[in-house]
This record gives sequence, C-alpha cells and structure tokens, in this order.
Amino acid sequence: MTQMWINMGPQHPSTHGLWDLLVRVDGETIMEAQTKIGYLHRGVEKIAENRTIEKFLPLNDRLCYVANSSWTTLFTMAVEDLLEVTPPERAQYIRVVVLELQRIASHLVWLGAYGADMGLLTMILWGWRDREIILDLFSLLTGARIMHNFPRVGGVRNDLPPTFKDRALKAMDYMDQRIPEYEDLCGRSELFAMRTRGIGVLPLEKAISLGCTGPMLRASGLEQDVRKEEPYLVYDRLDFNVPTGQNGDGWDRYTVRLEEIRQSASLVRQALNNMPEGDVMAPGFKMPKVLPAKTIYRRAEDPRGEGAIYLVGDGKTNRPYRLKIRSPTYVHLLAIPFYIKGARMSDVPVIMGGADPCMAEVDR
Amino acid sequence: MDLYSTMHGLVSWLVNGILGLLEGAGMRGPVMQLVRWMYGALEHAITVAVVVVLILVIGLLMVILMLWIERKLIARLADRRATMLGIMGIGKGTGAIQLFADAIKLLLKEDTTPRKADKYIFAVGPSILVGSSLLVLVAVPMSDGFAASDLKDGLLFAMAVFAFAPFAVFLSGWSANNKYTLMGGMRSATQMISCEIPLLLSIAGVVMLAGSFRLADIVHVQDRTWFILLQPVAFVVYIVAMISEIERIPFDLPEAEAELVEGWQTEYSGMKFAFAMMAGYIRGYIGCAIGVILFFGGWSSPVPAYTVDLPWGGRFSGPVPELWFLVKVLLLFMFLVWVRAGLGRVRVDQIVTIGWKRLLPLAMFNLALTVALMAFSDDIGTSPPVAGAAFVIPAACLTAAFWRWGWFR
Repeated sequence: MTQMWINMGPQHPSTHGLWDLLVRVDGETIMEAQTKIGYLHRGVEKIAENRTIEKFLPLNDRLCYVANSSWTTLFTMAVEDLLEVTPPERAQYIRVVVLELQRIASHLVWLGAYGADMGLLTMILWGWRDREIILDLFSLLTGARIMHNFPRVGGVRNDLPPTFKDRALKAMDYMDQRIPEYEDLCGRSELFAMRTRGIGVLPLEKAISLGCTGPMLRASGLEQDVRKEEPYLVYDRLDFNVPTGQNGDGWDRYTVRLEEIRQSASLVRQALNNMPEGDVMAPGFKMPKVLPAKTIYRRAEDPRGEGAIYLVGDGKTNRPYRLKIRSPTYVHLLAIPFYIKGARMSDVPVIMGGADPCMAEVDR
Repeated sequence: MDLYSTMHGLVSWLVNGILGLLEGAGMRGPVMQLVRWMYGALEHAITVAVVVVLILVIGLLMVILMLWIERKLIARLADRRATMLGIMGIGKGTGAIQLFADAIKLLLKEDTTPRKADKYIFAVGPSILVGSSLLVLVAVPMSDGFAASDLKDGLLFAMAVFAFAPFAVFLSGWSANNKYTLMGGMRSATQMISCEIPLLLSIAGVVMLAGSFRLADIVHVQDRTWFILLQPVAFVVYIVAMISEIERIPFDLPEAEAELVEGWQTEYSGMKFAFAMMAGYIRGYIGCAIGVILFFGGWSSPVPAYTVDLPWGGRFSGPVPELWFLVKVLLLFMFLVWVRAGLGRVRVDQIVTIGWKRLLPLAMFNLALTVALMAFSDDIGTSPPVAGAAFVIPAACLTAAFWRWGWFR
C-alpha cells in the first residue's frame, strides 16, 4: 500500500489538547512522525516582562489547566528566592498539601484519558468522578475549583478552613479505596496489558538524551525526582518513595503514575498531620518597589515532570526582566517522533497519551 | 398457528369486513368486483407485506430497547446515570424519551456529502448495511410460530446475509474519500477475514449435534440440555467472533474513535449516520438472538413445566415463549454491554492474531471433540457420561491454556 500522511490533530478526538501529530503510515504502521505545536501560544513569558509580580501571579494558574497550583507555587518560590524571603513553616506545609492534591487530580485526569485512548471509557468517567473529590477540597480551601490563585510571595493566601483537615484525610482514605479499583479495571486487565506492554518503548539513554523528566523518565528506569534530589518546601521531612519502571513502555508509565497517586495521598496525610501552628504569610513582608538585579533558576517536580522557572530581575523596575518557563511536556511531545516509529496506528493515542501533554503549558 | 396464517386471517377479515360494509351501503357493480378480484390475486403479497412490516417494526423497537439498555447499563457501570429525559412528567428519570429525541434530531440534521466522495456509493453504503441487517431478521424466529419465514436452512441464510455487512462498511469507507474512513473500511475487511471462519466453525459443532440448519429444530433439540453445556468452547469462540462481527468494543476497530475519529462513519451525518448506528444494533440483536438459539435453548422456558389454576378460572402454564426469548436475548446483550464497560479496544494485528491463532484452533478443537464424542453416542445430550465429558474436557483444557500460557495475549 502506498504511504500517506495522516493528521492526528489538531481537531481530532485523540489529541489531548490543541496540537498536531503528523504521522506517515504504511498501512497501519507508523513510518515517521512530526509534532506541530504552537496553536495555543499566548506569549506568557513576554506578558510577564510587562507586569508586576503580583499581577502576573494569577496568570501562572493558566499555564496548565490540569495542574494549576503547581506552576503558581513554582513561580512564587522563584520570586521568593529572588527577594530572599522564606515563607513560614505552616505555609510550606499547606503548599505541599496543595501540590500533592494537585498531583493526584492531574494523574487522575491522565489515567482517565489514557483509558479513553484505548477505548476504555469507564476509566475516564471514574477518573473524573474521583477528581471531583479533590476539586471540592480546593473549592473549600481556595474558593475555586480550577484557577486557585492560592500561593502568594511569602506564604499562601489563607489558612486552612476548620473542616479542611478532616475532609482531606477522608478524601485520601477514599482514594486508597479507589486505587485498587483502578488496578482491577486497568492493571489486571489482559487487554490493557496487550495495549500498553512494549508500546512506545523509550530506552533510558534515549530518554536522558532527549531531556525527558518526571514520570516519563522514571518509567524508563531512572529514579529521578526533584523532590528528593533538591528538596524544596518541606519534602525533606516527609517520607515517600519514587516509583520507577523498567522498560519505559506504556505499561510502566501507567504503573509509575498510579503509584505516584498512592505516594501523594500518603504525603497529603503526613503534611496534614505534621503541620505546625503559626502564620501563613511571612510576617512583615512587603513586595519591594524594585526587584533585585539577580538571576534565579528554580526547579520543582510538576506532575508531568521537572518544571523550572528562570527569572531575572533588573534592579530598576518591579517587573521581571526576563522570564523563561521550562515545560516538561514540551520536551516530551517533541520526543515522541523519536520513539513512535514502528508503532501501529492504534498505538498512536496510547503513545501520545503516555506523554501526558498539557498544551497550555507547552505552547505557553 | 404461525405468524403468516394469523396475519392472513386478520387481513382477510379486515378486507372482507370493509368490502362487506361498502356493499351493504349499496356499492355494487363492476368496480367492486374488480376490487374483490384484485384482493384475491394480491392476498398473498399483502399478507407477506404485513408480516414483513411487523417484523421490521419489532426489529426497530428492539434497536430502541437495546440502545436504551446499553446507555443506562453502561452508565451505571461507570457510576453515572445517563439520560434522564422524560416528557411532561412521563418517564422522568428513565430517559425513555431521549431516544426518540435523538432520532428526530438525526432526521432533521443536514445530510452532507464530501465533495470528493463517490456520491452514489457513499449514499448506498449505509442502505446496504441496514438492508442486509434487516433481511436477517426474516430468518430469525422468536418462537415456533413467530417468524416471518420458517426456512429449512435458516441458520445458513442468516449467517450468509449477516456476513454481507463488512462489505458495505468497506464500500462506505472507501467511497467517502477520507483517510480515516479508508482505514476504517480496511480494518472492517481485516476483521471479517479473521473472525468469520471461526464463527462459522463454532456454529458447525452445534449444527452437527442438532442435525439441522433449521433454527426451530436447533431449539427443540435443546429441550433436554442447552448446548452451552455441551459446546462450551463453541460458545466462547462464537461470542468472541460475534462481538467482532457486530463491531462492538473490544473489537470495534472500524470505528475506533481514539485514532480514526469515527472510523468509516466519519463523513456520515444525519439519517445516514442513524442508519449506520441502527445497523449496529440490529446486528447486535441478531448476534444475541442466534447465540440464544444456538446455545441457550432459544425460546424454551428455563424453568420446568408447571401449570397453575388461576382463581378466576383457566390455567396458566408460564409466559409466552417469545417473552423468554426476549429476556434471554437481552441478558446476553447485557453481557456484551458489561464487556464493553470493562475492556478497551484491541489492535488490528491483535485481532488477526486472535482470529487466526486463537479462535480458529479452538473452533477446530471443538469440532474434533464433537466428532469424537459423537462416535460414542449419536445424541450426546442423552448419555450423561458423554455429556459430562463434553463439558469437562474442553473446560479443563481452556482453563489450563488460559492460566498456563496466557492464551489470549
């Protein structure tokens, strides 16, 4: 059969967002692929140069519509490094709670979409159902389900509501009940294994040389996690494991992320139970009129991989001189053409989904 | 009493009654004589038309019922409730009105044809599909009397016409001149060649036991033992191959929405899409109905015969056989819905593997075993040791194969 180019996007039910994967197929076999991105470019980095820090803060929530607070927290941490302020301990614990809840919510969306990629529509409904529990917690804590705008430079916006701890612990118990159900539906299903084992194999050397991070890299077998490597907030005081896979295939990406949900639930519990009393904003802190002339590079473990912010203050204005956002899925999407060759047409959504793309963050 | 003679009596009574009334009102003469003569000449054709329309209506009602069951059941399995639409307080929460609303919506939708499509084939494709599917209904009885036609080779006819649909899918997919539809059509052809043969081979064992292709005979042979107990392997092969033939998850590759948008249906809109959808459910009904007839005793009652004297006189000896048949068919369909809720979709190369390397040997094994057991006893069901062997041997082999080698991977 002659070969032809097929668009797997941007207007296609399988794309997780607005992007395009052009594949050249011979029958059903993929011979070549090209990634086309940029449909969602909003110039966030340039906008930052024209805004004060406070005004730019809410825009970080828009960087990723699935894991919003991760990016806002990362940005505030970068600004705190720049201004040399340390948030009080309670605020750091609250940030960990929010980050880990965000990770659970993000992985649930991923798991659901991964199921839908192989026609398992029950999984997407279960995933979104259980994500609602997390969103309810966010709603209680921050007043918003998606766009929280919760972290502040020097702390967090408000303290935990009185009922939050009980409800969050209950929600984590609920998650612990649900994870075995996901395993029944996906992990113990012969068909799920048929569709993911040996599909989209990304060997470790290739993953490292392409710059993959987070669950993608861990699925390939490297135990790499910014939370362990370069602990920020209070992660060094909490006990958690970094799950890894062996083969770097679709199956390992599933097991790694599912285990991360479990670890995050445990982290939320630990953070809530060990949380000290105290302020949630650095006392007496005020945003200075002028940002110091310094360069900051701050990394953090986003649910999708290693997110990083490069921030330059110019010592003259209260606006960043330059902001650069390192998006993990940008790297993962551009890596797809390197390991998709030889896959079947049906594997394309599984491979695309395995990278967990979030287009708002990729295109920025 | 069968459907044809009942309808014949009804039509004659109606026509003679009307004509009698008209004559009584004074309308006599050559015109009335002509009408009477024409009725005499067309009596058979009119009756057949009425029977066929009745079967058609029942088929379409089954589509609606199964669509509703599928929506509601799959929703409950995914922890939601699906459509709750009712009208003016009637059927609130059941969503019974939603299906009619959907049908009206599809009727009113714009019917588009791609500019580069082969317009004639593009329009004909869904018609062939839905036409061939409805044609099978003619041969599928719901009870001894309730059949449009009591064919001697009913099973052969049904399977022959049933196998026609992938051809229509392939035509539609190619004619739309779209890459996704083309791939969907190709996949349909792939699926047909890999699953049609195991399907027919699995039926062969049942036919050998029953000694007839007539569906009513196959049902009556099962009065003692259902063939699911004597032919368990055949049932496994049948249900897997049949899911593939009716293109449901996990074998709905031709319309895999994850990678092919909507597969071969991508370019269809409005009533053509409704046809494609309808054909899917008609085929679902046929698949389940033939499965029930072959393996679950058809319309025979699953409870032992009993008679109850009713307090107001008369006797009640169980509901009508058609009801049992429908209950069994819908239960089997619910099993398919359950499968759909719990499984994803296989790949094209995997379905070829399943068809040729798994189902075909299984079907051959079943056929050989049936022949061997029939050497001991002509009628397997009458001899308890042979019947026991017919169930235990394949069940043990299947279980061993599944646990030891991960048979379906």
